[in-house]
Amino acid sequence: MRRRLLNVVAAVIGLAATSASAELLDEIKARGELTCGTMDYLAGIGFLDDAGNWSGFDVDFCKAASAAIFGTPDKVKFVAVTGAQKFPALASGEIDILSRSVTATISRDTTLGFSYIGPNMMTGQGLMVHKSTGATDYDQMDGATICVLAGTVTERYLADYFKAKGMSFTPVAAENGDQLFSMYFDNRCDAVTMEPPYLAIRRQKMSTAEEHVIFEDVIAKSYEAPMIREGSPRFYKLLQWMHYGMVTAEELGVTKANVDEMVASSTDPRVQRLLGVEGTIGADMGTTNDWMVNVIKAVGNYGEFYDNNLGANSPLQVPRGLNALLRDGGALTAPGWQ
Amino acid sequence: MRSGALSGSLPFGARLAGRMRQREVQAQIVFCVLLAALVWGFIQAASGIEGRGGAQSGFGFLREHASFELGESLIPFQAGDTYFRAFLVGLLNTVKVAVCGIILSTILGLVIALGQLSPSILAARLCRLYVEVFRNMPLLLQLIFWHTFLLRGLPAVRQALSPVEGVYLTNRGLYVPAIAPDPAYLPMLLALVAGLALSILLRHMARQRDGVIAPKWRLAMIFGPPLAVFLAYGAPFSLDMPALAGFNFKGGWTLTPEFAAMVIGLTLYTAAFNAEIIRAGIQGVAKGQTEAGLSLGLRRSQIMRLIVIPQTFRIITPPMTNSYLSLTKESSLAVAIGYPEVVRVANITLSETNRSIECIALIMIIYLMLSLLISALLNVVNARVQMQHR
Repeated sequence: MRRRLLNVVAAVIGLAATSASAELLDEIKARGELTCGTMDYLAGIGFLDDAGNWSGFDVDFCKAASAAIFGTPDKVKFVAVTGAQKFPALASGEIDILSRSVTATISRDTTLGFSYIGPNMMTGQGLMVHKSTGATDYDQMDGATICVLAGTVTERYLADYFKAKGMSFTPVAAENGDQLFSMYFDNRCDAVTMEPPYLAIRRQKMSTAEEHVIFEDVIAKSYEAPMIREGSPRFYKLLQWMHYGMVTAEELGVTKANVDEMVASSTDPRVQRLLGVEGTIGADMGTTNDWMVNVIKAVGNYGEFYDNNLGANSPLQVPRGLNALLRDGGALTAPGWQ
Repeated sequence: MRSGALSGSLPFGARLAGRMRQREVQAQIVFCVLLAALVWGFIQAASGIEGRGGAQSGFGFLREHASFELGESLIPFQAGDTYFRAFLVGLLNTVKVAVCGIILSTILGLVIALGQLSPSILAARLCRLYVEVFRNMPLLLQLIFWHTFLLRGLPAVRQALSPVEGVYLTNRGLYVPAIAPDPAYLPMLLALVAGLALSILLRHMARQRDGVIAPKWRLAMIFGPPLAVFLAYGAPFSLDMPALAGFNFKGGWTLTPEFAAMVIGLTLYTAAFNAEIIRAGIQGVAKGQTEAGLSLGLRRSQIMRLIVIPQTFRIITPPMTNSYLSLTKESSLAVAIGYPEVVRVANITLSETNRSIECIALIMIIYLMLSLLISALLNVVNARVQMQHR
């Protein structure tokens, strides 16, 4: 009920804000700074360290946006927003981009007055299991005891999944995330269910991290996406194509390390178009022709962006899964850069 | 007589008007009207909320299928059963905890009360310490403590403690052998009921003739028939032993750490209050009664058992009723440690169906029913232990 009320308030404020403002891209350029709502406590997603540096997947998206607009990744003012604040903060104009692990759904897209970019992280509901059980797959989980967060959809999805497979499990319900993982690590349960990146983050905090396995498959989907207010088509298209550009860069093998070399010597017309050596797409969109060069220099292509924060080059070691390129067996793809 | 004749002679309307003038009656009417308006307002507000959701209200959703599991249950339950059955599972789990807590906290309370009154200074001080420690810490905190203690203190499934073959103690619960079900057991139960009924009937008939039946004959009457049925079926008896299969122990009876933490927490907390009620009850029996017993040459234990305790019942029954009611209602704190009682069932049903008002109303009705039932039972006890004035 309270959430519904908040959403209504957010939508009303959103309407007022959009009708008052012109194209946000022009406003941000005039202001010389981008504001980005994220979280400050979850390493790998959004984290503020002792020295005042922001890092993480959701943080890097905003740094990339800054590079796309201003040429450098540091023209961002980060604002830590809580789960309850996130939509009102975006609707009221306090933040320009909400990049805080928000799951994209039809109701959020169509009734709140927001648009989502991407989705840039495709995940779902997964399981973390004690390695000592020997289980490596959902099919081996028949009869297991599984810790669940009370009253969430994960409880229902888990029961649906096991019922469909003709298997059984014993749930143990926890009231909050800390209690949930404490029960799992105390071996009250064989497994614990949540989105795999968060399972990986919790596992990373444990000294016994290597004694736990996270299954690569998921049993229900949760596609996360940055959000902006509706009503600024050029800002929306810039961010949407920045995401596609990062994916295209990975497809073409353009990386943070070789981007300068590619600009100077690549003869591939696809690379030349992407990096603005050829054509005036960037300028036509309201930024510079070399905007994708700046984005790739700031955070890398999509693969680097993912791996440095969550994947192979980070302590979390979350597998790419659906977020691998289509040609590598994932679901990540982008329309043609013509 | 005269005023009656006078008012009788007045027309009905005038008599009513006369009544209305009395301030007392006016106040009562105003109260009733306000109460009715309040109830009507609540119903309007509630139906308004449901109407906005666009869903039909009412308790029809209880027939729909629930897609969640509950962990532990006295009756078989699985995803796909109805919400009604889920609530029944929750209710039975609440009753299970409440009954265990009431029995154990009464026994422990009695022990602590007697300890406090004992001539041994050490015992009295230790029991006093117990009362002050346990009744002055929040129950929720104690429940979380016991739950964490059991999870951290006991070994994992694969390192289970097994003092006796077939008994395993782990942090997922205590597993003990169960008696395997057999078709002979239902007739045995019927025979037991029949024997019990027979013994009560014969005792009643004997009383009418001022006679008594020796206890050994009554025991024979109660336990003879089921024993005969048992032997007639060829004495079927086998144990369902728990065994490690896959992830967990399968078979046998299981006592989960959530249930154990609930019973331990509720028992230790409520026993502190019960001890004080019982101590007050014992001290409330006039000192002359004990002195009279001593002068008759009875021992202290005999005085306690034959004279003081029976009179104590009269004093403690009403406050003990309150204590039992509190314990039953406090079992709803189980939601904090994940024991699947009625509040947990209501919470998960609520998040699935959005029937918040119906679910909360159901919890309230269930606790009200349980409380009224406990009160009614203890009122019967109270009536029986009160002094008989002839």
